[in-house]
Amino acid sequence: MNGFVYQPEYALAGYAPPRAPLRRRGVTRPPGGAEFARLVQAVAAARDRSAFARLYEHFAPRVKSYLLRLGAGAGQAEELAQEALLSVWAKAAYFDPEKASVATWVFTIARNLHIDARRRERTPGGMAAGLEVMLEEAAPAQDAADMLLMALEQQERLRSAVLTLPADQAEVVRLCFFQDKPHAEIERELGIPLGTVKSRLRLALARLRRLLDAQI
Amino acid sequence: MRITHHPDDSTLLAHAAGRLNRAARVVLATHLASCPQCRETVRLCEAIGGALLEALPPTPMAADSLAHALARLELPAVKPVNAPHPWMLAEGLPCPPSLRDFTPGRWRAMLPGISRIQLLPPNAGEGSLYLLRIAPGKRMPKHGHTARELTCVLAGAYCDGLGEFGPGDLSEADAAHDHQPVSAPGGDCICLIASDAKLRFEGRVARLLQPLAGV
Ligand SMILES: [Zn+2]
Repeated sequence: MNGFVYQPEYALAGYAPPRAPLRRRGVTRPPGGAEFARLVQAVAAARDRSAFARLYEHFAPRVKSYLLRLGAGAGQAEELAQEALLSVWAKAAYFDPEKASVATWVFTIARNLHIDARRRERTPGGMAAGLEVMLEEAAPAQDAADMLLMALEQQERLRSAVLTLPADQAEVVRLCFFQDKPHAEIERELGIPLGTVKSRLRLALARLRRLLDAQI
Repeated sequence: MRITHHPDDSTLLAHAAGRLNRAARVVLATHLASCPQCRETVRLCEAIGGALLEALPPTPMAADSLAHALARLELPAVKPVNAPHPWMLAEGLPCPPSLRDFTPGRWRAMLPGISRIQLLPPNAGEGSLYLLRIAPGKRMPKHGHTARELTCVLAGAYCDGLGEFGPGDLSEADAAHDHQPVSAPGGDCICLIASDAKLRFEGRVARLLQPLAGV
Protein backbone atom coordinates (compact mmCIF):
# COMPACT_ATOMS: atom_id res chain seq x y z
CA MET A 1 0.00 0.00 0.00
CA ASN A 2 2.95 2.37 -0.32
CA GLY A 3 4.29 4.16 -3.31
CA PHE A 4 1.49 6.67 -3.59
CA VAL A 5 1.89 10.26 -2.62
CA TYR A 6 -1.02 12.32 -1.48
CA GLN A 7 -2.03 14.75 -4.20
CA PRO A 8 -3.14 18.01 -2.68
CA GLU A 9 -3.62 19.66 -6.08
CA TYR A 10 -6.20 17.00 -6.89
CA ALA A 11 -7.67 17.23 -3.42
CA LEU A 12 -8.30 20.94 -3.80
CA ALA A 13 -9.36 20.99 -7.42
CA GLY A 14 -13.00 20.21 -6.76
CA TYR A 15 -13.27 17.89 -9.69
CA ALA A 16 -11.51 14.76 -10.78
CA PRO A 17 -8.87 15.53 -13.41
CA PRO A 18 -8.07 12.78 -15.88
CA ARG A 19 -5.34 10.65 -14.40
CA ALA A 20 -2.99 8.18 -15.96
CA PRO A 21 -4.06 4.76 -14.73
CA LEU A 22 -1.52 3.02 -12.55
CA ARG A 23 -1.33 -0.67 -13.18
CA ARG A 24 -0.40 -3.40 -10.78
CA ARG A 25 -1.15 -7.06 -11.28
CA GLY A 26 -3.41 -6.12 -14.17
CA VAL A 27 -5.72 -3.98 -12.07
CA THR A 28 -6.10 -0.24 -12.51
CA ARG A 29 -5.51 1.44 -9.18
CA PRO A 30 -7.34 4.61 -8.31
CA PRO A 31 -4.85 6.65 -6.29
CA GLY A 32 -7.47 8.90 -4.66
CA GLY A 33 -9.65 6.13 -3.24
CA ALA A 34 -6.77 3.89 -2.15
CA GLU A 35 -4.99 6.79 -0.49
CA PHE A 36 -8.04 7.90 1.49
CA ALA A 37 -8.68 4.31 2.61
CA ARG A 38 -5.07 4.11 3.79
CA LEU A 39 -5.47 7.36 5.75
CA VAL A 40 -8.59 6.07 7.50
CA GLN A 41 -6.77 2.86 8.37
CA ALA A 42 -3.89 4.90 9.79
CA VAL A 43 -6.38 6.78 11.96
CA ALA A 44 -7.92 3.49 13.13
CA ALA A 45 -4.69 1.62 13.79
CA ALA A 46 -2.36 4.35 15.06
CA ARG A 47 -4.65 7.29 15.94
CA ASP A 48 -2.60 9.14 13.33
CA ARG A 49 -3.44 12.83 13.67
CA SER A 50 -1.70 13.95 10.49
CA ALA A 51 -3.68 11.34 8.52
CA PHE A 52 -6.82 12.76 10.14
CA ALA A 53 -5.78 16.29 9.19
CA ARG A 54 -5.45 15.25 5.55
CA LEU A 55 -8.86 13.62 5.56
CA TYR A 56 -10.26 16.72 7.23
CA GLU A 57 -8.84 19.11 4.68
CA HIS A 58 -10.23 17.07 1.82
CA PHE A 59 -13.64 16.06 3.10
CA ALA A 60 -14.82 18.77 5.54
CA PRO A 61 -15.14 21.45 2.81
CA ARG A 62 -17.08 19.02 0.57
CA VAL A 63 -19.38 17.95 3.39
CA LYS A 64 -19.97 21.65 4.04
CA SER A 65 -20.95 22.17 0.39
CA TYR A 66 -23.28 19.17 0.60
CA LEU A 67 -25.01 20.52 3.72
CA LEU A 68 -25.35 24.00 2.20
CA ARG A 69 -27.07 22.41 -0.78
CA LEU A 70 -29.49 20.70 1.58
CA GLY A 71 -30.47 24.12 2.89
CA ALA A 72 -28.37 24.26 6.08
CA GLY A 73 -27.26 27.73 7.20
CA ALA A 74 -23.53 28.56 6.90
CA GLY A 75 -22.97 28.15 10.65
CA GLN A 76 -24.80 24.84 10.86
CA ALA A 77 -23.07 23.49 7.74
CA GLU A 78 -19.67 24.34 9.23
CA GLU A 79 -20.58 22.75 12.57
CA LEU A 80 -22.03 19.55 11.10
CA ALA A 81 -19.10 19.19 8.68
CA GLN A 82 -16.78 19.23 11.69
CA GLU A 83 -19.03 16.71 13.50
CA ALA A 84 -18.93 14.44 10.46
CA LEU A 85 -15.14 14.40 10.42
CA LEU A 86 -14.98 13.85 14.18
CA SER A 87 -17.16 10.78 13.54
CA VAL A 88 -14.56 9.63 11.03
CA TRP A 89 -12.01 9.76 13.86
CA ALA A 90 -14.33 8.01 16.31
CA LYS A 91 -15.56 5.31 13.93
CA ALA A 92 -12.43 4.73 11.85
CA ALA A 93 -12.10 1.14 13.11
CA TYR A 94 -15.50 0.32 11.60
CA PHE A 95 -14.61 1.50 8.13
CA ASP A 96 -14.44 -1.38 5.67
CA PRO A 97 -12.72 -0.41 2.38
CA GLU A 98 -14.23 -3.41 0.61
CA LYS A 99 -17.75 -2.25 1.29
CA ALA A 100 -17.52 1.43 0.52
CA SER A 101 -15.14 4.15 -0.56
CA VAL A 102 -14.15 6.72 2.05
CA ALA A 103 -16.21 9.32 0.16
CA THR A 104 -19.27 7.06 0.38
CA TRP A 105 -18.70 6.39 4.06
CA VAL A 106 -18.32 10.11 4.78
CA PHE A 107 -21.44 10.78 2.73
CA THR A 108 -23.53 8.39 4.89
CA ILE A 109 -22.16 9.94 8.09
CA ALA A 110 -23.01 13.46 6.89
CA ARG A 111 -26.44 12.35 5.67
CA ASN A 112 -27.29 10.78 9.02
CA LEU A 113 -26.09 13.84 10.92
CA HIS A 114 -28.28 16.02 8.75
CA ILE A 115 -31.29 13.74 9.32
CA ASP A 116 -30.68 13.96 13.08
CA ALA A 117 -30.30 17.73 12.99
CA ARG A 118 -33.54 18.11 11.04
CA ARG A 119 -35.29 15.86 13.52
CA ARG A 120 -34.00 17.81 16.53
CA GLU A 121 -35.36 20.98 14.95
CA ARG A 122 -38.80 19.37 14.68
CA THR A 123 -38.82 17.76 18.11
CA PRO A 124 -36.56 19.70 20.50
CA GLY A 125 -34.97 17.33 23.02
CA GLY A 126 -35.58 14.37 20.74
CA MET A 127 -32.97 11.65 20.78
CA ALA A 128 -30.59 10.98 17.94
CA ALA A 129 -31.71 8.44 15.40
CA GLY A 130 -29.05 5.96 16.47
CA LEU A 131 -31.05 2.94 15.40
CA GLU A 132 -31.77 4.34 11.99
CA VAL A 133 -28.17 4.29 10.85
CA MET A 134 -28.41 2.61 7.52
CA LEU A 135 -24.83 1.76 6.76
CA GLU A 136 -23.80 -1.39 8.57
CA GLU A 137 -20.84 -0.88 10.81
CA ALA A 138 -19.41 -4.32 10.40
CA ALA A 139 -15.98 -5.19 11.72
CA PRO A 140 -13.30 -4.91 9.05
CA ALA A 141 -12.93 -7.99 6.89
CA GLN A 142 -9.71 -10.00 6.79
CA ASP A 143 -7.05 -8.26 4.79
CA ALA A 144 -7.40 -9.75 1.35
CA ALA A 145 -5.33 -7.52 -0.89
CA ASP A 146 -6.81 -8.71 -4.20
CA MET A 147 -10.39 -8.30 -2.98
CA LEU A 148 -9.51 -4.83 -1.81
CA LEU A 149 -7.97 -3.92 -5.15
CA MET A 150 -11.06 -5.13 -6.94
CA ALA A 151 -13.29 -3.19 -4.59
CA LEU A 152 -11.26 -0.02 -5.07
CA GLU A 153 -11.28 -0.57 -8.80
CA GLN A 154 -15.02 -1.01 -8.83
CA GLN A 155 -15.58 2.04 -6.65
CA GLU A 156 -13.50 4.10 -9.04
CA ARG A 157 -15.41 2.87 -12.09
CA LEU A 158 -18.69 3.56 -10.38
CA ARG A 159 -17.52 7.03 -9.44
CA SER A 160 -16.68 7.95 -13.01
CA ALA A 161 -19.89 6.33 -14.29
CA VAL A 162 -21.96 8.46 -11.91
CA LEU A 163 -20.25 11.58 -13.23
CA THR A 164 -20.98 10.61 -16.84
CA LEU A 165 -24.67 9.69 -16.54
CA PRO A 166 -26.87 11.05 -19.37
CA ALA A 167 -27.89 14.62 -18.57
CA ASP A 168 -31.57 13.93 -17.80
CA GLN A 169 -30.71 11.08 -15.43
CA ALA A 170 -27.87 13.02 -13.80
CA GLU A 171 -30.23 15.91 -13.15
CA VAL A 172 -32.83 13.91 -11.20
CA VAL A 173 -30.17 11.96 -9.30
CA ARG A 174 -28.52 15.22 -8.24
CA LEU A 175 -31.88 16.69 -7.29
CA CYS A 176 -32.60 13.62 -5.20
CA PHE A 177 -29.33 13.92 -3.27
CA PHE A 178 -28.88 17.66 -3.02
CA GLN A 179 -32.27 19.27 -2.81
CA ASP A 180 -33.91 18.95 0.58
CA LYS A 181 -36.85 21.24 -0.01
CA PRO A 182 -40.08 19.50 -1.07
CA HIS A 183 -40.22 19.54 -4.82
CA ALA A 184 -43.48 19.06 -6.68
CA GLU A 185 -41.93 16.60 -9.11
CA ILE A 186 -39.94 14.61 -6.66
CA GLU A 187 -42.09 14.12 -3.63
CA ARG A 188 -45.08 14.67 -1.49
CA GLU A 189 -45.15 13.99 2.21
CA LEU A 190 -43.21 10.72 2.35
CA GLY A 191 -40.48 12.06 0.11
CA ILE A 192 -40.89 9.43 -2.57
CA PRO A 193 -40.28 10.54 -6.16
CA LEU A 194 -43.14 10.62 -8.66
CA GLY A 195 -43.72 9.78 -12.30
CA THR A 196 -40.98 10.60 -14.76
CA VAL A 197 -38.55 11.32 -11.95
CA LYS A 198 -39.09 7.74 -10.81
CA SER A 199 -38.43 6.24 -14.21
CA ARG A 200 -35.30 8.33 -14.75
CA LEU A 201 -33.93 7.29 -11.38
CA ARG A 202 -34.65 3.65 -12.27
CA LEU A 203 -32.83 4.05 -15.60
CA ALA A 204 -29.83 5.59 -13.86
CA LEU A 205 -29.63 2.72 -11.37
CA ALA A 206 -30.09 0.06 -14.05
CA ARG A 207 -27.26 1.62 -16.03
CA LEU A 208 -24.88 1.63 -13.06
CA ARG A 209 -25.84 -1.94 -12.12
CA ARG A 210 -25.17 -3.15 -15.68
CA LEU A 211 -21.81 -1.46 -15.58
CA LEU A 212 -20.85 -3.12 -12.30
CA ASP A 213 -22.03 -6.55 -13.46
CA ALA A 214 -19.98 -6.21 -16.61
CA GLN A 215 -16.84 -5.69 -14.51
CA ILE A 216 -17.07 -8.93 -12.56
CA MET B 1 -38.21 -15.65 5.35
CA ARG B 2 -38.85 -15.57 1.60
CA ILE B 3 -39.36 -12.03 0.40
CA THR B 4 -41.05 -11.49 -2.96
CA HIS B 5 -42.19 -7.85 -2.82
CA HIS B 6 -39.60 -5.08 -2.73
CA PRO B 7 -39.67 -1.28 -2.78
CA ASP B 8 -39.10 0.52 -6.09
CA ASP B 9 -35.47 1.39 -6.93
CA SER B 10 -36.38 5.07 -6.89
CA THR B 11 -37.70 4.71 -3.33
CA LEU B 12 -34.48 3.05 -2.20
CA LEU B 13 -32.50 5.84 -3.87
CA ALA B 14 -34.56 8.49 -2.06
CA HIS B 15 -33.93 6.55 1.16
CA ALA B 16 -30.17 6.44 0.57
CA ALA B 17 -30.23 10.16 -0.23
CA GLY B 18 -31.79 10.80 3.18
CA ARG B 19 -34.85 12.54 1.79
CA LEU B 20 -37.61 10.29 3.14
CA ASN B 21 -39.47 11.29 6.27
CA ARG B 22 -39.16 9.29 9.45
CA ALA B 23 -42.28 7.15 8.97
CA ALA B 24 -41.07 5.98 5.55
CA ARG B 25 -37.51 5.46 6.81
CA VAL B 26 -38.69 3.18 9.60
CA VAL B 27 -40.80 1.03 7.27
CA LEU B 28 -37.92 0.71 4.79
CA ALA B 29 -35.42 -0.08 7.56
CA THR B 30 -37.76 -2.89 8.63
CA HIS B 31 -37.74 -4.37 5.13
CA LEU B 32 -33.98 -3.84 4.67
CA ALA B 33 -33.21 -5.71 7.88
CA SER B 34 -34.43 -8.91 6.22
CA CYS B 35 -33.67 -8.18 2.54
CA PRO B 36 -30.02 -8.53 1.39
CA GLN B 37 -31.03 -7.69 -2.19
CA CYS B 38 -32.39 -4.25 -1.28
CA ARG B 39 -29.49 -3.62 1.12
CA GLU B 40 -27.23 -4.12 -1.90
CA THR B 41 -29.24 -1.55 -3.89
CA VAL B 42 -29.03 0.92 -1.00
CA ARG B 43 -25.28 0.39 -0.90
CA LEU B 44 -25.07 1.18 -4.62
CA CYS B 45 -27.18 4.31 -4.09
CA GLU B 46 -24.95 5.41 -1.22
CA ALA B 47 -21.95 4.98 -3.51
CA ILE B 48 -23.67 7.40 -5.91
CA GLY B 49 -23.95 9.81 -2.98
CA GLY B 50 -20.25 9.35 -2.28
CA ALA B 51 -19.32 10.03 -5.90
CA LEU B 52 -21.46 13.18 -5.96
CA LEU B 53 -19.99 14.38 -2.66
CA GLU B 54 -16.48 13.83 -3.96
CA ALA B 55 -17.28 15.90 -7.07
CA LEU B 56 -18.72 18.88 -5.20
CA PRO B 57 -16.69 22.08 -5.29
CA PRO B 58 -15.31 22.52 -1.74
CA THR B 59 -16.55 25.39 0.46
CA PRO B 60 -13.68 26.65 2.64
CA MET B 61 -14.03 25.91 6.36
CA ALA B 62 -13.22 28.61 8.94
CA ALA B 63 -9.48 29.24 9.27
CA ASP B 64 -9.24 27.70 12.75
CA SER B 65 -11.60 24.80 11.99
CA LEU B 66 -8.96 22.08 11.73
CA ALA B 67 -7.22 23.31 14.92
CA HIS B 68 -10.56 23.12 16.76
CA ALA B 69 -11.23 19.65 15.42
CA LEU B 70 -7.77 18.44 16.45
CA ALA B 71 -8.33 19.86 19.94
CA ARG B 72 -11.63 18.03 20.15
CA LEU B 73 -9.93 14.71 19.37
CA GLU B 74 -8.56 14.84 22.92
CA LEU B 75 -12.04 14.81 24.42
CA PRO B 76 -13.18 11.45 25.72
CA ALA B 77 -15.36 9.64 23.23
CA VAL B 78 -19.06 9.70 23.97
CA LYS B 79 -20.25 6.17 24.69
CA PRO B 80 -23.01 5.15 22.31
CA VAL B 81 -26.36 4.73 24.02
CA ASN B 82 -27.34 1.10 24.35
CA ALA B 83 -30.19 0.09 22.12
CA PRO B 84 -33.43 -0.13 24.10
CA HIS B 85 -34.89 -3.57 24.61
CA PRO B 86 -37.48 -4.79 22.15
CA TRP B 87 -41.08 -4.49 23.28
CA MET B 88 -43.72 -7.06 22.44
CA LEU B 89 -46.04 -6.48 19.48
CA ALA B 90 -48.08 -9.52 20.47
CA GLU B 91 -47.49 -12.64 22.50
CA GLY B 92 -44.25 -14.23 21.34
CA LEU B 93 -43.59 -11.44 18.81
CA PRO B 94 -40.92 -8.89 19.80
CA CYS B 95 -40.85 -5.66 17.80
CA PRO B 96 -38.22 -5.44 15.04
CA PRO B 97 -35.05 -3.41 15.79
CA SER B 98 -36.43 -0.53 13.69
CA LEU B 99 -39.22 0.02 16.27
CA ARG B 100 -37.15 -0.27 19.44
CA ASP B 101 -36.87 3.43 20.14
CA PHE B 102 -40.62 3.96 19.95
CA THR B 103 -42.71 4.00 23.10
CA PRO B 104 -44.76 0.80 23.17
CA GLY B 105 -48.40 1.61 22.49
CA ARG B 106 -51.63 -0.22 23.22
CA TRP B 107 -53.69 -1.91 20.54
CA ARG B 108 -56.87 0.10 20.00
CA ALA B 109 -59.84 -1.54 18.32
CA MET B 110 -61.04 0.10 15.08
CA LEU B 111 -63.52 -2.53 13.94
CA PRO B 112 -64.14 -6.09 15.10
CA GLY B 113 -60.94 -7.98 14.30
CA ILE B 114 -58.95 -4.87 13.36
CA SER B 115 -56.86 -2.83 15.78
CA ARG B 116 -53.98 -0.40 15.57
CA ILE B 117 -51.16 1.31 17.42
CA GLN B 118 -50.26 4.82 16.29
CA LEU B 119 -46.48 5.30 16.50
CA LEU B 120 -46.06 8.70 14.83
CA PRO B 121 -48.96 11.14 14.68
CA PRO B 122 -50.09 12.26 11.22
CA ASN B 123 -49.45 15.95 11.81
CA ALA B 124 -45.89 16.10 13.15
CA GLY B 125 -44.30 16.53 9.72
CA GLU B 126 -42.63 13.10 9.72
CA GLY B 127 -45.47 11.11 8.14
CA SER B 128 -48.02 8.94 9.92
CA LEU B 129 -46.65 5.63 11.20
CA TYR B 130 -48.83 2.92 12.67
CA LEU B 131 -49.19 -0.81 13.26
CA LEU B 132 -52.27 -2.60 12.03
CA ARG B 133 -53.37 -5.96 13.40
CA ILE B 134 -55.95 -7.94 11.47
CA ALA B 135 -57.55 -11.17 12.66
CA PRO B 136 -57.07 -14.19 10.34
CA GLY B 137 -59.37 -14.50 7.32
CA LYS B 138 -60.67 -10.95 7.65
CA ARG B 139 -61.65 -8.82 4.67
CA MET B 140 -60.59 -5.18 5.09
CA PRO B 141 -62.99 -2.52 3.85
CA LYS B 142 -62.19 -1.58 0.26
CA HIS B 143 -60.13 1.58 0.24
CA GLY B 144 -58.07 3.76 -2.01
CA HIS B 145 -55.34 6.19 -1.16
CA THR B 146 -55.47 9.92 -1.55
CA ALA B 147 -51.69 9.79 -1.44
CA ARG B 148 -49.13 7.11 -0.77
CA GLU B 149 -48.47 4.32 1.64
CA LEU B 150 -45.60 1.97 2.45
CA THR B 151 -46.51 -1.29 4.19
CA CYS B 152 -44.17 -3.92 5.60
CA VAL B 153 -45.62 -7.18 6.91
CA LEU B 154 -44.27 -8.20 10.33
CA ALA B 155 -46.33 -11.34 10.96
CA GLY B 156 -48.99 -13.38 9.21
CA ALA B 157 -49.92 -12.56 5.63
CA TYR B 158 -52.50 -10.80 3.48
CA CYS B 159 -53.61 -10.88 -0.14
CA ASP B 160 -54.73 -8.07 -2.41
CA GLY B 161 -54.83 -7.37 -6.13
CA LEU B 162 -51.02 -7.13 -6.16
CA GLY B 163 -50.40 -10.58 -4.72
CA GLU B 164 -49.71 -12.26 -1.41
CA PHE B 165 -47.64 -10.42 1.17
CA GLY B 166 -45.86 -12.28 3.98
CA PRO B 167 -43.31 -11.33 6.64
CA GLY B 168 -40.68 -8.92 5.30
CA ASP B 169 -42.62 -8.11 2.12
CA LEU B 170 -43.03 -4.45 1.30
CA SER B 171 -45.93 -2.91 -0.60
CA GLU B 172 -45.98 0.57 -2.12
CA ALA B 173 -49.44 1.92 -2.85
CA ASP B 174 -50.22 5.23 -4.49
CA ALA B 175 -53.22 7.34 -5.31
CA ALA B 176 -54.06 5.28 -8.38
CA HIS B 177 -54.30 2.07 -6.42
CA ASP B 178 -57.53 0.82 -4.77
CA HIS B 179 -57.32 -2.37 -2.83
CA GLN B 180 -59.23 -4.66 -0.51
CA PRO B 181 -56.73 -6.72 1.45
CA VAL B 182 -57.77 -10.07 2.94
CA SER B 183 -55.72 -11.49 5.80
CA ALA B 184 -54.59 -15.09 5.48
CA PRO B 185 -55.96 -17.80 7.74
CA GLY B 186 -53.72 -19.05 10.52
CA GLY B 187 -52.60 -16.15 12.69
CA ASP B 188 -53.09 -12.42 13.06
CA CYS B 189 -51.58 -10.32 10.29
CA ILE B 190 -49.51 -7.48 11.73
CA CYS B 191 -48.30 -4.73 9.39
CA LEU B 192 -46.23 -1.60 9.82
CA ILE B 193 -47.53 1.26 7.70
CA ALA B 194 -46.20 4.69 6.75
CA SER B 195 -48.76 6.95 5.19
CA ASP B 196 -48.75 10.50 3.94
CA ALA B 197 -52.46 11.23 3.91
CA LYS B 198 -55.88 10.06 4.91
CA LEU B 199 -57.22 6.82 3.53
CA ARG B 200 -60.33 7.13 1.41
CA PHE B 201 -62.85 4.38 2.17
CA GLU B 202 -65.68 3.38 -0.15
CA GLY B 203 -69.14 2.18 0.85
CA ARG B 204 -71.40 2.95 3.80
CA VAL B 205 -69.76 0.85 6.52
CA ALA B 206 -66.36 1.84 5.29
CA ARG B 207 -67.29 5.52 5.49
CA LEU B 208 -68.19 4.98 9.14
CA LEU B 209 -64.64 3.72 9.59
CA GLN B 210 -63.14 6.86 8.11
CA PRO B 211 -63.15 9.01 11.25
CA LEU B 212 -61.75 6.11 13.26
CA ALA B 213 -58.88 5.75 10.88
CA GLY B 214 -57.58 9.24 11.54
CA VAL B 215 -54.66 8.37 9.36
ZN1 LIG C 1 -36.14 -6.02 -0.75
